[in-house]
Order: sequence, then structure tokens, then C-alpha cells
Amino acid sequence: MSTNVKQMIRNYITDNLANKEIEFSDTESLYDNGVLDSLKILQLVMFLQNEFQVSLSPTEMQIEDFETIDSITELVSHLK
Amino acid sequence: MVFSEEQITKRLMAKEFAMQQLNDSEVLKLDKKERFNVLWKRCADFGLFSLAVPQEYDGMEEDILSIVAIMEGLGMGVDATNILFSANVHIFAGMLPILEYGSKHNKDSFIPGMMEGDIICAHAISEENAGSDIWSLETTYEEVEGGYRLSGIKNYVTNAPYADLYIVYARKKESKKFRGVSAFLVQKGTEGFEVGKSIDKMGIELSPMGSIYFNDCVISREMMLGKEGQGMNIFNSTMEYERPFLLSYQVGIMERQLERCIKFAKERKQFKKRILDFQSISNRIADMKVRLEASRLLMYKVAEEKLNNQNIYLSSSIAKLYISESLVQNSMNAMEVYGACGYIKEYHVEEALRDSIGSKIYSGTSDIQRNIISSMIE
Repeated sequence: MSTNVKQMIRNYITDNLANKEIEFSDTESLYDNGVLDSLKILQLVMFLQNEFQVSLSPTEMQIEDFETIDSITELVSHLK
Repeated sequence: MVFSEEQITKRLMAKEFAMQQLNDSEVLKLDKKERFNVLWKRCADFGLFSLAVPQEYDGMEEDILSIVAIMEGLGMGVDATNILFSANVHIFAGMLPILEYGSKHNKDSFIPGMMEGDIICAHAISEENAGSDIWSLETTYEEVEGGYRLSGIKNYVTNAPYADLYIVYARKKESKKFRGVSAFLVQKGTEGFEVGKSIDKMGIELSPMGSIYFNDCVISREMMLGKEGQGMNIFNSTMEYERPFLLSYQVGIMERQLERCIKFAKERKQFKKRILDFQSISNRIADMKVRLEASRLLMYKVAEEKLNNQNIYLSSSIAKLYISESLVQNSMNAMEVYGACGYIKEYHVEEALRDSIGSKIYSGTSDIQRNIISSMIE
């Protein structure tokens, strides 16, 4: 399941948030490479909520959880 | 109707309070600072600053829907923004973050005074190169013996010139972007902390705005709000409240504006008939009514969603965008209905128009709201 979740997250980020020319690994910081900023994180949160039916409150969100494809996948798995 | 009978009663009480206490012509003659102080104290005595406070601090612990009802009632009673912008910033961007994230020490130290109106709060985020783009903060902090040292400048801080307490966001020195953003409570008079003079603005004249300066300002450890690195969460949480609910009194203002326009259009005659009977006037008033009712529904929807702990990222931006733009359009329409009378200060119509423009800028501009909305539906 986790592999599928990871691929869906990667696809969403690649198709909707990232500059098409940027390539990134599952462990690379999406902040350092400029893929995510403070607005795009909210967009990603909406996707995760709608796609995986998970609940994410702004008061509980840990910004580090969104740093890499791996950490986002782990967050979703934890919340499901 | 979304409100209970009790909430409707509270809205009416708020309207009566605003009409009698906030529009007081004697107070309106006072100079700006004195006027602010008198009206602020009246808001505190009315219980406005106790609305969101839990009962353990002797607050009223009202839910967000009731608060929206009361704010709408206040707007229904005032001729223009009056003290309400500053009061709302104090509540939504000052008291709520402290109640949500503050330690017991923070709450015990500040909440009672904030409720009484003795402590005025400001929320400082914007900088020369950071606002909605919070990751670009240049104000920094570093750990020093016994606390933290803050350095940097914040701009466009509402309430800053009169405030006693400031919520300040800063990035840990040498940290990357968001990673080290934390929030702090800074008291007026702290060494190394200075408040600039009040900046003249287009509208919302009773709410002072200014810059604040941190020049090696050292604060104690207990003045960090929440945990280290939690600044983004606190900011997002604060914006979820501030962005839509700062406009709840504006819905009331739109209603009062419309009522006054109808009354004026019935009384003023041209060519031996009421100007209301001219279709260009009646159509304009119909458009104002449609915008008012749509704004009201959006406000209630987002309040109900928040009450039910739903995610309001999208709906709060939609509400903020629509209500603020409707407010500006209705205020412009009011000017057109009033004609020359609207252009002179006596009727407060031009004042309301000037005030309304700010709503498209504060808490994220209309452009930013459109960016958020479009990004979330793509």
C-alpha cells in the first residue's frame, strides 16, 4: 500500500507543484529544491485530505512531515 | 436560519451596544488616541474581549458561530469601522493564539489583562520582503543565556503604536527557511525593542499601524509562544481565524449601509419623485442586497465548518475574497446613491468606502486569496 501511496504523492507533486525540469529523490528536501513553499504546502494538504481521507489540522501539522516524499508517505500511512 | 434564538438575541444586544456606545458623538469629538482608549474600554466592559476566553479564566467561552453573530451585530450598529478592526485583531490574532498555544504562565500573565482591555495586543508578521510569503522572514532569533535575542524589523503592524504585547515571528539565526520559525511574546518597554510612529493611512483611521524594531532585544524563555519551530503552525492557525472572521463585522456594516441607503433613497427627491423610484438607484440597491446575502451565507458556512472542526483553508479564502470585494463594491454603490451627501464627511459614507479598501489588502490580498483558491481546485 505504501508504495502505491508514495507513487500517488509523487505523481501529484510532479504534475501539479513542481517545475517539470526538477528531478528529486524520495529523500531529497522539497523545500531546499524549491518544489514546496508555504502556499504549495496547503495545496498538498488539500490533496492528501481529499485523496486519502486523512485529517490534518493546521494546529497539529508538523512542517518537517512534508519535507520529503518519504516523510509525506509516512505521515499519510500514520494518519490512515 | 443558521443562528439560534439566543445567538440572534446576542447579535441584537451587540447592535444596540454599538449604536449607543461606539457611535457616541461626544466620544467622536475626542482626539484619536483618547477616542481609541474610551471605545476600547467600552468594548472590554461590554465583554467583547471575553467572548473567546474559556470559563476557567472567567471568560464567556462562546463558540465561533456565536462570536460571528456578535461581531455582525456590532457591524450593524456602527457608522464605519470605528474601533472594530483593532478589537478584532486583538481577539483573533492576539488572544486566540495565546489561548491555543500559550503556556499556563503566558495565559495567567496576559489573558486577564487582555479581557479587561488593559493589555492591547498586536500580531507582527509582515516585513519588507515577507508577508503572505512567511518563509522569507528576515527577523531572527538566537538562544542566549536565559532566553532569546531578537533582531529585525516588522512593518504594517496593526495596533503597534498603542499595543502592550506583541506576537512576533522570527527565524532561528542561520536556519533555513521555515525550519526555525518560532513565535514570541514581546512586551512594550523591553530593552532593545522600539515602536515606530503611527503611519497615516487611507482608512480605518482609528486603528493605529506602525513598524516595530528589534535591536538585540533579549526576552526570557517563557516568552516563546508554543514550542520552538512551531511558528508556521501558529501562523496558519491564526490565519484560519483571522482571514474570514475579521470580516464578520463587515457583514453587519454592509447591512447597516444598505438600510441607510434605502432610507436615504426614499427621502431624497428629484424631479418630484423619490430617487429610489429611479431604476438605476433601485437596481444598485438590489445588487447591494444580493452581495450582502451571499456574503452572509459564506460567513456562516465557514463559521459552521470551523465549529465542526472541518478544514477551512479553501472556504476561508473564498469567504475572505468575496466579502471584502463585496464590501468595497457596496461602499462604492452607497457613494453613488448618496451623491454629494456621500462625498462629505458628515454621513460617514466616504469614510466607510475608505475603510473598505483595506479589507482587500489585510490578512492576505485579494490576489493572494485567488492564488490560494485556484491552487486548491486545479
